[in-house]
Amino acid sequence: MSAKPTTKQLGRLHVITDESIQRRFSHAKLAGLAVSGGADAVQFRDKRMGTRKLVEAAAVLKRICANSGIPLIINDRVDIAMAVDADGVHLGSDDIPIAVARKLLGPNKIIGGSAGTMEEALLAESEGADYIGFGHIYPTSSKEKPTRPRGLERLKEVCSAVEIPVIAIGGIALSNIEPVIRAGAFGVAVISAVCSRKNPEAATTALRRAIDRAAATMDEEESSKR
Amino acid sequence: MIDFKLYLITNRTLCRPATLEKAVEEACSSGVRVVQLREKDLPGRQLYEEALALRKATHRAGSKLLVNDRIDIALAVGADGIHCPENGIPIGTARHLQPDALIGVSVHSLERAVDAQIRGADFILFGPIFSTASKAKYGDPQGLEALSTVSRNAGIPIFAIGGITPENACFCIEHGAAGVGVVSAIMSAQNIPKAVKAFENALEGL
Repeated sequence: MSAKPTTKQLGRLHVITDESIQRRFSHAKLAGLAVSGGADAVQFRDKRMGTRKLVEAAAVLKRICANSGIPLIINDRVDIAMAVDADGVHLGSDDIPIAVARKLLGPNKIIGGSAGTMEEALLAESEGADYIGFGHIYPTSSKEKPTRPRGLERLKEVCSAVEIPVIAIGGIALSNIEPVIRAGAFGVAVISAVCSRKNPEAATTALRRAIDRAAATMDEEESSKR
Repeated sequence: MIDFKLYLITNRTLCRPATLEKAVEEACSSGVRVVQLREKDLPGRQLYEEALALRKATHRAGSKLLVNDRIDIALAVGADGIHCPENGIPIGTARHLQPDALIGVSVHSLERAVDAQIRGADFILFGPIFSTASKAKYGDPQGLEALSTVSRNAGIPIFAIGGITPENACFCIEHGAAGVGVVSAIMSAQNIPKAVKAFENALEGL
């Protein structure tokens, strides 16, 4: 199985900036390190800031991402995405419905939908999501999770069932990234695997290489079958 | 554009067990012309759903709906405008995203009031004028003299908020306010139509 084609630049390594699990780096600093390390999408997520601060921080991230030509995706807040003309939003089940966000943002912006089950994935796809954020795949420390890890089998099923790319999230690390790509994920989203590392830039580069290596190996296997 | 003297601001915890939609419906059918949906603790999905319900309730009465801080929700439900809190969505951003919006802005000083006017606000909510239950959060009452100063100098209509009742609303108007902003005196009223009428009587006589 190969990654599904898309006309939008979705990115295969999404780094989610986080100021709650670590305090050494600001959102802007993390975005800068992630971009220079090889991330090809940045997701801005902050559940504590007020709107004014969110707009200000997102505007800085937008400049950093635009300078490198990679998409900036805003978690939850469609208003912040509109305010800074971000490239897209990532929406969960507590956020504005995907179909509503699509009307506000238009056809060209990226909309990702969180899913933890097959039903949620299919629903997000039918509502007009450009990609599914599926997880959590492995146990994770970044968020208190009431549910159990979904594992690779569920990931594989979802990747086969939906037409749009799947970005795997939750406990993804250098050591377990290859089977995630092999399961059919278009890419991964990480928080602690970058933000909590001593050197976020180097951690990003290592993840980037692992994704590219896994994808290349799969391509070779595909072509040798033909 | 500012064709109202009574600006109702929601707090769904005060109108229980009635739903917010029901409370707003009652208030609007009794004469409230403009409502601000302000439920800051609600996640986006629920806020959107409340906004949809309030849009219907305000439409039925021909009243206006403003949404606090969230321009995405305001646009999504076709609200008439947005209310910008002091550290919320910048006024210029709101105006850019919804050019024809009615924009209200909360301020707590003359300096901020003038700034809001320059940035394109249509009206200002200034307070707290009197002492309120939530006083700890918004500081000591500003009083009627401060209201008078802001009303004279801001250049746009000022609505007084904070501890406003039908009994003291007239003092706010006497001190230059174009109207009053009310939360608890209506939202927590046992009889919402009666509470609205009391305000109308107090404001109409002036």
